[in-house]
Amino acid sequence: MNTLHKNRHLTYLALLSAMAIALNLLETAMIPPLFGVFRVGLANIIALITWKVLGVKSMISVNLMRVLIGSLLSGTFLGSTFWISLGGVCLSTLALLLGNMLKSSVIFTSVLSAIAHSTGQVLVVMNFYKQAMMLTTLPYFILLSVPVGILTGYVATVAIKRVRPLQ
Amino acid sequence: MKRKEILIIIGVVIVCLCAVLGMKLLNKETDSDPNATPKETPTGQWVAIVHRNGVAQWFDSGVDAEYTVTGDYGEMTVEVKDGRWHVEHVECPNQNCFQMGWDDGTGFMPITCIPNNIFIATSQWVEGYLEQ
Repeated sequence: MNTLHKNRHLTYLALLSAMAIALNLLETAMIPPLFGVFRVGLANIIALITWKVLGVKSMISVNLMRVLIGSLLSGTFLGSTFWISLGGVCLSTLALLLGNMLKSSVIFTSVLSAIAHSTGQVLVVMNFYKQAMMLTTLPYFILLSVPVGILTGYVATVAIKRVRPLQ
Repeated sequence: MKRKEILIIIGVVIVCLCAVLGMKLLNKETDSDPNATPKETPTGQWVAIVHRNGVAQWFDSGVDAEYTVTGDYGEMTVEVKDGRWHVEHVECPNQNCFQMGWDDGTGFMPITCIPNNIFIATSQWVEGYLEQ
């Protein structure tokens, strides 16, 4: 990788991370959760774009930065919200890796990632509060994750078409 | 999206819908809480024989009958007659509940058998007690 390409890669990474953090914070501040608990996860659009434009490693960086910097900015770092977000992001990143391995479409990967995100969050809450009954909410979350995943996947597909890949 | 991917998503949705329906059905079954007052309108009033913080037997004080429950010490038989109830027979050393006589729900305290860990009280009293 030459210096110019490296710089461009870093610039894109910084821009996409900033977008993911901004979307994350904006969503928390401006969009009320569906049914009081379920968030759309707009930042996932940026994760999908990063995956296609910069590759898997950068996508992991963006996802981690989104949680770490996002929680630092919102003042929830190392609090319960942080761990719940981290659980969701870790599983959704694994789902994106699986999608990458299977060479699946962006929309399908997005649905997988949304389902994994909800599952990760429910598992963390379950362990955090020692409430095994939380698992009963998982089917509801998965049912909501499917249309949300399709929506974010569609938006990401449209955006990816307009951005030149850097890999 | 590929056909296979659509099928997988449909499969996941179907599994989740089945899980949600299953939980709804299970909830309906567990709604029949034995400690809750029966929903039918009684001829007299609903009275419960409570053993170890759980209702062992509900009965309608307006229906003459006899009920036998097993307590910690032995068996207890409750007779219901003319809207009142009393302990007809009990296996316990002190027989205090037997000596408490007839009750119609207006008494100061319900019929109680400490050795058997049993008391007999109206639904209002039982609900208040179990909520505590």
